[in-house]
Amino acid sequence: MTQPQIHKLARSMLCAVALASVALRAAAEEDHGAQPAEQDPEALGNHQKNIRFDIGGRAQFIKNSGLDPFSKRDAIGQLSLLASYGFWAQDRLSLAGVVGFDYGGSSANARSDQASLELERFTLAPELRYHLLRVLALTAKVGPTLTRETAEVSGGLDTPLVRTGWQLGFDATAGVAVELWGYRSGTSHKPRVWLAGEGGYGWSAPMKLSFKPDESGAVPQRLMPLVLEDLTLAGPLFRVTAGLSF
Amino acid sequence: MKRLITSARATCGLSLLLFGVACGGRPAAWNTAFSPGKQDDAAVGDPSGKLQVSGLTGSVALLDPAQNQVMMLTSPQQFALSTTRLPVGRDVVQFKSSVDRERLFVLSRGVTPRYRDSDEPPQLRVFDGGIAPTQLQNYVLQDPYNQLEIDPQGEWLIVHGSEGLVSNPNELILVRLPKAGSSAGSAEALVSKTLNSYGGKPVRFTFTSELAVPGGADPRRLLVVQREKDLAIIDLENLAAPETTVGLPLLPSTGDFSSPTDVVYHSGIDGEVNSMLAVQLNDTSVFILTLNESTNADHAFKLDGNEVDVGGIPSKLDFVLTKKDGGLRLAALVPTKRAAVLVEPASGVTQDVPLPAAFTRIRRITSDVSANSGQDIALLYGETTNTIAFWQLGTTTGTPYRSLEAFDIGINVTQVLDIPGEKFADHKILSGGSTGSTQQFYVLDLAERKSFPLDALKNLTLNLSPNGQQLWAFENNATGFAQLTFDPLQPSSLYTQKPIAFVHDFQTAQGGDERTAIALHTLPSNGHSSVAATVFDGLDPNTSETRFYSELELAGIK
Repeated sequence: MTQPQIHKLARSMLCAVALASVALRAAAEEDHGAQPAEQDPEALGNHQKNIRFDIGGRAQFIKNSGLDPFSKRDAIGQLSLLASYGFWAQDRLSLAGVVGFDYGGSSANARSDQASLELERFTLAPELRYHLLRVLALTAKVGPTLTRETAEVSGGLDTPLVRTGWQLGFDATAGVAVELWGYRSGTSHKPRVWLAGEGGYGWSAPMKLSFKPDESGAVPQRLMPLVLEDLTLAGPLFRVTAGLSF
Repeated sequence: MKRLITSARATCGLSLLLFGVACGGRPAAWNTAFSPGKQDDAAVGDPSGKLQVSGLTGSVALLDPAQNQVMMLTSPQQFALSTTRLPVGRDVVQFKSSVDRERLFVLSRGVTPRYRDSDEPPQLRVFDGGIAPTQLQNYVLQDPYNQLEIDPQGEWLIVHGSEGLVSNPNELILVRLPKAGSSAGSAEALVSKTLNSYGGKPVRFTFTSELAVPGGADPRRLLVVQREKDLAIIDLENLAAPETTVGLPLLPSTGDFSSPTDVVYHSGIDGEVNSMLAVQLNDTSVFILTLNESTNADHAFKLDGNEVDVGGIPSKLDFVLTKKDGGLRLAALVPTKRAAVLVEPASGVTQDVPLPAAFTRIRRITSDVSANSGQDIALLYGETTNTIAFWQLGTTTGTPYRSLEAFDIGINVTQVLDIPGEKFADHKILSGGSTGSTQQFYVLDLAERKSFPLDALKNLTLNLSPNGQQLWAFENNATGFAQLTFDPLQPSSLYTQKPIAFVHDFQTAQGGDERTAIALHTLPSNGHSSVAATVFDGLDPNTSETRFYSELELAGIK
């Protein structure tokens, strides 16, 4: 997915969130005051302990020169899909388990050749949340990542040269989550709409860019690998997502 | 709620701002496609063809014009290929190697017009072409020049041919190249010399070997600059001395001055003749200039001229010895007379030597023949005859030569290649055009007086190995080429899977005799070009034992 596509997708997501918030406003107003009398309606309740699905965009700024053949900018945008489960809460503090998937990449001309990089990143991390307000939480998470990196160069040969690898790494981020819409009562199980933003640092282990042909039959005999500078996906990252919690 | 929405908007805005600020670009080098450098003024037989590529002793140099760099392809070990990029300056106009292929010379024009002090100036760069290529010298020039003349002995370069709004074609920049291992500064190595002119401009340059000078002066090398109507002779040992301008004789037919077409020289013979130059003119005369003792303080010598009519327009001159260590004569080939005219330089007396064909070229091969009797031996050939001849000078009863052996070889010889090194110095490669269906080139064994025809399906480009052990024959854009070893005289056909642009072999970094042969390919790539190479064992190449390297233009890009 190219960077403009990511931007377009992010804008679309924001619009969707806005529409969802308008649609849910009426439902929320109808449900107002319907909490069971035996629970404290002022408690954070399901504001903290919930299942949340997020979709959004992730941008990582990468100064590593290994990225140069594949991107005209020192950044890679990705689509982010996250699922979290807030399973523990103590006063304003809560803990959730997060599973994430980022998909994206970049393509550019590398001199006469066409070069592309496709990334699929899987994340598993605990997220600590601290509710400053009922609708505003600070978040922090650190977790390992596993990234499938597929680099391709198409040039003077009849078939592309490809390098694919799985790289371990980590993401460490902190941010803020805002509940844009939802019942005030923490006992409500109606959906809540969230907008979350976070920033931090991501690192994936260096991948040796040693390319081999996609189809060995179409290339000259004893083709030596094309070796480019190692690719290390490391640098500051930002993620903005919209989510629904239940 | 309103406050929260405002906060969220601010967060998104901040993210986008950070994205914009933090997102830098990649080096511009990645954005420029590769296109090989082209040269329009390639000499006949130049194995580089129209490509700005040069085969050197330990590397192959390929110009990357978009990067203003030269890619030096070296071989760390057999079948391995490594690329070193070295800057060459903007707008390269000359990309040539020294005769021994140890060095690469690159002349660039820089930024023109040069409005700012920071704009790159014109430069001449000298690179070591060995197994560890480096830049040896960088000479910054005052103005952009287009032409580069290379001294066969590797001591001098001449830069000339300025292209300013107003330019002086008689302005020469003489560059004394430092000897190997020396680190001479660039400033003192450059000497600008403006030749006095009577309307002419430089057409051709001849560097002489060291010529003896009478009167006790040290032997010295001369640079002879041919102009339309005269010669300018520069004393390379004393650049401060004014050049000697030699006017040429008037043509009787038109009353105009003769034009020089070639210059040959001889360092003289003790007790017989002084050093001399012979000028081939565009009429039936030759003009012999003898170096005599100087009569003024400005020059270490003076030149005395003697015009000799040889009875026809000569096609080539050379000095020859007609007896052991003496009997110097100027041999002028006169195709219209089917004769060589021997001129006794001191007296101007001529003697015709009838020849079996209208030879137009002569090449003295005395020093290349291991056993000789003292007289010169010359090889005669020509573009208009299928015959070659070995001419042994001297005299025997009834003939003004000892022997003249002619052979019909079936091709018109346009080029005679010397084989580098000592091992096969007595072999020559003859190439030229053929009227038959197959093309041929010949390997000539001077010692045995044998010529070995080698049939080729195409008119091939020939490239001699710098080690003098083998010859590469290839056709541009074909996928086949041949290696020819001289001992035994054995051709091997070799093939690549991509079209060939250049073939060369060079020493690997392992030293010793280990060599790598490279067939270079320029392949189409997304509307541009890509560089690839098939690498062979340089001594015993085999099509089934190769390595193929692709996308070489990406190597070293930063």
